[in-house]
Amino acid sequence: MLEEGRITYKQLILLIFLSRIIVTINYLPALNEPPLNQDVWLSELLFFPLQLLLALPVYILWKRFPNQTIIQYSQIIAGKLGKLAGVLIIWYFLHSTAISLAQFSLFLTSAVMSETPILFFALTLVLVCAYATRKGLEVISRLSELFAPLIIITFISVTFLLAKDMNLKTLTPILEKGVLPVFNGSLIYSARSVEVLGLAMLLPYLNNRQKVKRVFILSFGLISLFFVLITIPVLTVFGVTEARRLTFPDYSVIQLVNVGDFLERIESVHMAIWILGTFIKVTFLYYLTVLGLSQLLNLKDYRPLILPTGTILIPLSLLIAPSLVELEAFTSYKIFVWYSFFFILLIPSLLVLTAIIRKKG
Amino acid sequence: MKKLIPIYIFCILLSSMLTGCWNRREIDTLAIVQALGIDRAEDDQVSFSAQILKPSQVKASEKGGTGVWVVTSTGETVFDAIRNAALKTDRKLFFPHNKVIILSEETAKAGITPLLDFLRRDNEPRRLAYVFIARGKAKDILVGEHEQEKIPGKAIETLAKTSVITSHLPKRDLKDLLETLGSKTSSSVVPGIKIQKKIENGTSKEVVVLDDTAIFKKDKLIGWFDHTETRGLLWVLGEIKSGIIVVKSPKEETKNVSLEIIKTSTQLKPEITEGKLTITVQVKEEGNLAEQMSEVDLTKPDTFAELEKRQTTVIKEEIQATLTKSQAWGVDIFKFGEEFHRKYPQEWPKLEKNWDEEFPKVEVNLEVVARLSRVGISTTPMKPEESNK
Repeated sequence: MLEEGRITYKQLILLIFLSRIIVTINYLPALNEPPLNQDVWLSELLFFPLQLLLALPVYILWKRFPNQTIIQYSQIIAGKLGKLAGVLIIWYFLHSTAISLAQFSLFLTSAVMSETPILFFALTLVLVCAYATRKGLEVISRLSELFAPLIIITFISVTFLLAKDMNLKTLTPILEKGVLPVFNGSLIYSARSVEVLGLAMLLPYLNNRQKVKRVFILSFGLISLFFVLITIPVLTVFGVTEARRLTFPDYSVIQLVNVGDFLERIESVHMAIWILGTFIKVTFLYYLTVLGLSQLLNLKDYRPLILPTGTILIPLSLLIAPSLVELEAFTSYKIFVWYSFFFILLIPSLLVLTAIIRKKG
Repeated sequence: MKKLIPIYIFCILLSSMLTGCWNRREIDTLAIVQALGIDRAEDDQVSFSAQILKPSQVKASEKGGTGVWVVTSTGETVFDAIRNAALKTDRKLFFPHNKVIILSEETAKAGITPLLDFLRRDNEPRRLAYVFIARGKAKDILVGEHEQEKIPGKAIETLAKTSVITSHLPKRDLKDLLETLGSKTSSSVVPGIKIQKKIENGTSKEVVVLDDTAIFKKDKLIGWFDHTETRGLLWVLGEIKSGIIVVKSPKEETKNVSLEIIKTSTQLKPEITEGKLTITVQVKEEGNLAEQMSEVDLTKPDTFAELEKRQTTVIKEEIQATLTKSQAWGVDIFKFGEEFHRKYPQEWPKLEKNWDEEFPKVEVNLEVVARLSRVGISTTPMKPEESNK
């Protein structure tokens, strides 16, 4: 096998969790998606069951092929067409890595260091990620185990520090426009989860096969709760209208922390954990790309692919995001959701159908 | 040995990263802005003034000027004006420590949204800076002096914080102002600031004082509320933290009694019955007898009850006056619209469209419960005791 490492279910949960939340918390696209009002947090709670439902095909496929990744069993299920599915999935991983990379460097250039060339951020991050990827799955998942508590504790304490500025009245009226927009909202959030395919890639490397259900439930539950934890301070401190106009809502809200005129200007903490988190996310997707690619090409080792993939990643991230405006136009729900649904829902569902019809696995 | 060469090269490459980043700015190249003011210049240009910290002056001995320097520049836009300041300062203006934003009355009348965009968009200014509307020119406020502080910007900031105890002025930072400016129905209020001329030992001094409250319709200044009217507003908004209510003394109607506000809470209860909007404002207040200038003993149950009653009347009158005025001006400074939105989301879209017409028609019920609980550490006023006959 390509990857000898085994990970525990806790590590996998935290890896999925960090990868899903970290970029989202900074851009908080949820504010500009249906339901477009104070019901956002309800959508985020509803995200949990919906995401489980969307991940169902991946779970069924894992049941049939517990020892193989989606790239491997798609070839068993559908032969040549399965190979095409593998190529598409790898493209999706590569594209998602590039998007995260672009989001990382665009945030740093627009919010903090506006004169630094964007290439510098992309290059340094990719170099570090390439190193971590080279070290393999165990290292990446242990890193996430190390960083996740740090990130969780920071955000919980920030919420407490902001408590005095919050106006919880902003969250009412509940369900102003009815249930449908709330439902649409959660559908959109769950469509953004490239991590569903991440699970399809990493479940074979879990050391305890009994815990798979728990991985699904806990990781998506944690993500959903954390979304709410991030959104509520932003909504209640700024009010809905102003919150929606912020490019980096969470960064802006942390700038407002001021306890007794001495505990203030703590956005550097936010920067630090954000860089840690993005590093995990980019490494995770980067690893999935090279692992998938080597499985598709039947290579014995994925390491030779790391640097070539990195050299593709950087220009790709600059190409897809020449400016923040163009990146946001693409990642807005009107385009990205359909794009993403194709990979995370349509491909696995078709594979499940084919597997059942052709009685594979 | 050959194996080590790549490592050496890598280390050398790494060391090139240690030089710091592109945006490195040392403190001696920064002009730290403490307060900024925006005025209107001729030909529709923007005039920008900044109060810059002079570090050497701040630590200097007791006498000798303020610790700041005010630089003024003009430009087509706010940012243009700020950059033009670099023609006069040898250091680049640095905004993260800016504490005060002053807009002149004249610019406020023309609309403030265009002026505030830079402060929202740029990554340096903070949303915690207090906002004021200057009576007159913003620049004059910035050059005004303050006795207690070396840095006038800091003085204005503390003024804003301290003035809360009078409950005569609202306290608004940029974040609060942006919230009401972004609302479709609510109107913004901003405290005013002005220069008062003072003659002391033959030399005239210009002192900065906070005064009155600017009332906005959309983003345009339409008028001013005086101290009592502002308090009426703050009662409804529930922003009163402290303050003095002056009433006439029972039994000695020419003398005054001060009642100190200790605790207040406000609740708004909107209601729609047959298309008619009513809102109930419930104010609960708890106060202390803090001072009496009359000579009657007020610490008797009946006079105490009378004081409570008068306190209630004063609060009611204050609120009523403000309500009448703001409904006449058609400015929803009380955020009534938001309350209706919260309770009646179904009816709201219709109401929101013509809120300007609906708001003056809103009927307001006042329910004020004002209590007095303590009398301080002495009871009766000081006067020679009358001998018992």
